[in-house]
Amino acid sequence: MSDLAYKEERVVIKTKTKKDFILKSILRNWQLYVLIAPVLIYFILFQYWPMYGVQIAFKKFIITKGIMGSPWIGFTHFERFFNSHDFVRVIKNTFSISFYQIIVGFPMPIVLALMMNEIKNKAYKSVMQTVTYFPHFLSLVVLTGMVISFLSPNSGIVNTILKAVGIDPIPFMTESQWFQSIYVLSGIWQNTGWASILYLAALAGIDTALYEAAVVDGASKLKRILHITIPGILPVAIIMLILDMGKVMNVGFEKVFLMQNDLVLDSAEVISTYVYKVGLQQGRYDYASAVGLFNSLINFTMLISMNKLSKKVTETSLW
Amino acid sequence: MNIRKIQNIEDSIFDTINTVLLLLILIVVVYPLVIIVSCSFSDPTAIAQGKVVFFPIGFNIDSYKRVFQDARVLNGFKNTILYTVVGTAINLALTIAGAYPLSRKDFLGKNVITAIFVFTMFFNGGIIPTYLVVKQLRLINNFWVMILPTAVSVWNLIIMRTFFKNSIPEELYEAAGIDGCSHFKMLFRIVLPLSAPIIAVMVLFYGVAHWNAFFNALMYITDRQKYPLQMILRAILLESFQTESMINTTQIDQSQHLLIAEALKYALIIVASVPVLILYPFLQKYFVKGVMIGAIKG
Amino acid sequence: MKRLRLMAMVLTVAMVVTLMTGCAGASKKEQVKTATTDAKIPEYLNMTGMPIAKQPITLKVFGSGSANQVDWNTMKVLTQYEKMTNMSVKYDIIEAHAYPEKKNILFASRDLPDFFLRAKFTSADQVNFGTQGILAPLNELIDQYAPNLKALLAKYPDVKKDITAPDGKIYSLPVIRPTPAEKYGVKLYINKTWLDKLSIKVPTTTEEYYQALKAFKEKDPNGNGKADELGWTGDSSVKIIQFLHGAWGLNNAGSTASDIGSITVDKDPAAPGKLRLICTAPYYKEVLEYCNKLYKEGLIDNEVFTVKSASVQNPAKAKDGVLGSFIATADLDSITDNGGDNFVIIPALKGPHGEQMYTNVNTVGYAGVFAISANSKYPEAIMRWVDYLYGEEGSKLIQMGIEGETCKTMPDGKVVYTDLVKKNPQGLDVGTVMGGYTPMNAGQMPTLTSEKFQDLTPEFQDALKQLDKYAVKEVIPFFLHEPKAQDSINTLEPEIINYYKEMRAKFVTGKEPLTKWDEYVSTIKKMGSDELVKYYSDAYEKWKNSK
Repeated sequence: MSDLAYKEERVVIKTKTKKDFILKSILRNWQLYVLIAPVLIYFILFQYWPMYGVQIAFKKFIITKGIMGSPWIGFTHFERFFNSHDFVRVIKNTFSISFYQIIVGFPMPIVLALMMNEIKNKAYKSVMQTVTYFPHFLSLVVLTGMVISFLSPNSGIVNTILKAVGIDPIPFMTESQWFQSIYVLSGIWQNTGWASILYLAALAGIDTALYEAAVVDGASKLKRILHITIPGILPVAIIMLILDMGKVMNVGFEKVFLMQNDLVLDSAEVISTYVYKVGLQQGRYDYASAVGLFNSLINFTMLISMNKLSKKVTETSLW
Repeated sequence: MNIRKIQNIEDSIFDTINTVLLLLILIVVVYPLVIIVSCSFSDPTAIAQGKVVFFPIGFNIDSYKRVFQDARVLNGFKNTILYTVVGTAINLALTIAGAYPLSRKDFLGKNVITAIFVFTMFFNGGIIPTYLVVKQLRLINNFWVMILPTAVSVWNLIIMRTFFKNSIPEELYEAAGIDGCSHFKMLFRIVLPLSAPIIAVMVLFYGVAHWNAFFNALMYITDRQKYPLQMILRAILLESFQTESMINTTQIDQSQHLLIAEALKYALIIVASVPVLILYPFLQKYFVKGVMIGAIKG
Repeated sequence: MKRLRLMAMVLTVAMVVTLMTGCAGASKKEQVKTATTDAKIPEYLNMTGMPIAKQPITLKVFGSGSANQVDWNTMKVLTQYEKMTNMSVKYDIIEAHAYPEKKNILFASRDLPDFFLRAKFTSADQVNFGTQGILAPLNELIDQYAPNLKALLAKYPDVKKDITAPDGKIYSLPVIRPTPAEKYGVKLYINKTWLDKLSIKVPTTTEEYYQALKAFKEKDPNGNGKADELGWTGDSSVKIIQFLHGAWGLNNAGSTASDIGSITVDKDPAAPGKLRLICTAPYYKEVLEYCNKLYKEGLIDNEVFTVKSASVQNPAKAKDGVLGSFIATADLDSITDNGGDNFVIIPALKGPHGEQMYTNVNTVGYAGVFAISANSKYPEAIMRWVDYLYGEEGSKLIQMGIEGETCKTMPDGKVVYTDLVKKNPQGLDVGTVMGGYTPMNAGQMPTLTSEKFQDLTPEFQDALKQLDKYAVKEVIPFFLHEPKAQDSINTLEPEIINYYKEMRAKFVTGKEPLTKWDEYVSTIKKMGSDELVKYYSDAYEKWKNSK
């Protein structure tokens, strides 16, 4: 069938009723629907069925009455949160840490993957990869313990080096201005190797023929990376960035809680730790749920915005 | 040949810088790890004193002995291996089954379905309703509770979909379509063989997630026999953080106990991570540059 | 329906028994004979002696476990007790670190057992769950089926007051611990070896304490030529600050808890019968000033805020020979074994206004360790089950284990651990060995503790006697508030405590100057502290007047 005739036929199909089109499409692709059915079932069972629990954010939760029977109190929890003494501080810190993490932490795994990709020696490459992702497995308890130990003003290695070059020891862990950097940088140390795995896999998906052609054309390694590799993994990178933006409000509880102390709360108190101290410790799931809902709304908004932006600027987007 | 010469010089400079930087990274990453390994072989008091800076102090394998003698740990290992193998298999199957349709251009409803999935990343019912659902599905204290509630990760699903979209050129589908290929055949004959890298990644991601999992066990399992490894590790690790008993109904000095736990931490980390480290080199061979595409094209 | 019938029977029995109280008397033995009311006793139950149930019955229990315990279903004491009582108990143990979340989830999902052990119910839990009808009121059950407990409540009326909710009902039982060793919590110690070396006597006032620490820092008492001696050291809870409250008359009504959720009020000397908020009391500012002075001069170890656990750090520092002064709760073996230095207790320091109080005094009863579900079929049997543990044999069983195996009775009446426990062939410590027998290795079981079971060093006993001299006499408990009051407290208190703790750290370290004191006080007032104090005062009134 010639190209033109093929296109004509498609136009004809399009002008028929939409319902017909939909039906035909479904019938043609019925196998796809069969494939995706169990996945949908999973989501309905384990994600959507429990969603009725979201209403707890608007209720005063009384255990004996259950979620359905507890009384409505509207936006009281939200008001309490917005009016709380720490509100501005925790919002500011949460955003600050998240964006710090994205700006500094997002490019690192990509850079590392690119660097490791250029290693010729297979054994060396394998060792590098294994070593760099090992920190991902350290429990946060051990990680924070190490960080505190390394940064100790008296015996920590960092201050020992500083003293050797004539700088006074800095009590890193008890000064507010250092907290966010320590938090983000230790996270980068722990997770860059692991995150780079994804990009390594993406790199493997780039057609080698492109490289061969570039070499013939006289492109240096740097040029090859800039013009072939980076565009090749760009779709993955963009998706990851969008997803990351959708997590800005989720500065995780555990690591912050382990690293913070009473002296650095000005930069170390985030939403999750705050809610833990004033809500969860008394089992106030309703209050915690309201704050969580607030977080989710912000996250969702950020995600949608990033997605729209990405659609305009690049061709990649979530939907 | 001038271009070649410049290219070679440029490449050499690039390679040198690359190697040096990587070496620095290696040192920065390795040094703390060396300390952890050393601590796992060191005397607990020396660790608390902060004396272990490179080599073990008071070398002993007591911590390891304690770990392996503890029946709970061995049982946890057994359970976790089971959960990981079965869980990852199911994860893979479902994720592929979800990602492939979503990657096809003419799959009607893909945007709606994607939105349905993504929505759950932000909004969920919370611990209590989820617990009630799990209870109604009779999964409490059931082996499957470590697998089913986390059967699909939206994050991974989206990544896989992105890979499928990017790595499989549309021409391949069209060529196969003309040959009368059904979707199932396309999936198994074309897509999967070309997707070795991403499948390897998923095995790693899901596998490690199972290996480190404890939250579901925390919430849904009270039968100690079914505990995964991490539950046991956390229990031992978190002991040192339990605020000292507010009441002194015993005069037993907790210090001795806590000190041992201090050293035990490190041995536990090593023991818990070694299996995964061993896994990686096996998976690594799948991270090979797109060998397959050319072959299939032909 | 069956439960209502049983409850009706119990009530009738209770009424009849009260009419006959004339004969009850203060019998030293466990079982009180209730002769004439057999007709109303539940069929399945034996009123006295063992077994408790005529036919075997099965019950379900929730408990909060501890890491060094085995599965409770395999604990030797519990299995033995099962055989004794004919009550087969299936234990569902929730690990301690997961307990707060799990507890609430289980209540929310109505997955309720017959009864709770090591329940860790806060006072809010007791009132909430009680008034919401989840926990059974225990008053009549105690009257009818718990002669040991009944006698103890009569002997320690404060305990009864502490566990009675505002509606007059008892919803949860305590561990009753009248021994001196358990009465006192945190204790301050100072390095005697160094004091002797520098010819300084043991400090008795805050000024002397300051001077002693200063000497430690400056005069190199460990003789190694380095100024590595630490003054007071510990962890981020910086317990020295709370300890010093006593030197300024704060916490004059005791402080029965550690920092988190601590008692925030004490008796107002300016308004007898009323309570005040400690963290805004005028003398509290002086405590902060004193601690700030110590911190500035390095006499409070500047690294404490990053230390998670003093129990781990202090022995290490002792070994290094740098430990000057610290706070500990239990006996000092780990420290003295490691350091070689001698440490003595400072029971209380006298402040500039002449106050010298030891304030970390615990109440005799620690509530919330046991409760019965409202829908259990066997509340009577359960009450008998737990009552045995309050008696002489039961308390020995649950605390010391099995005679001949883990413990033996000495001729003087004391009960001591056997070598299996104290010198365990596998090298396990006492807590872990006992963890194979009884949940009591981690405390918080419904029982009566006794000096007979304690093996205290002479130094420790002496320390306790010294504390007696300065300990505050009236101790207020964790009040059981009305549900509505508790709700408001839950909203107001955490924020205030968080702010107070943060500002405490900042004032002491100098990050905030004490000129900001007034601003601090007014912020706390804005957070609703007046309302908070009123709730506590109301509860205090009720508590004083209850019987």
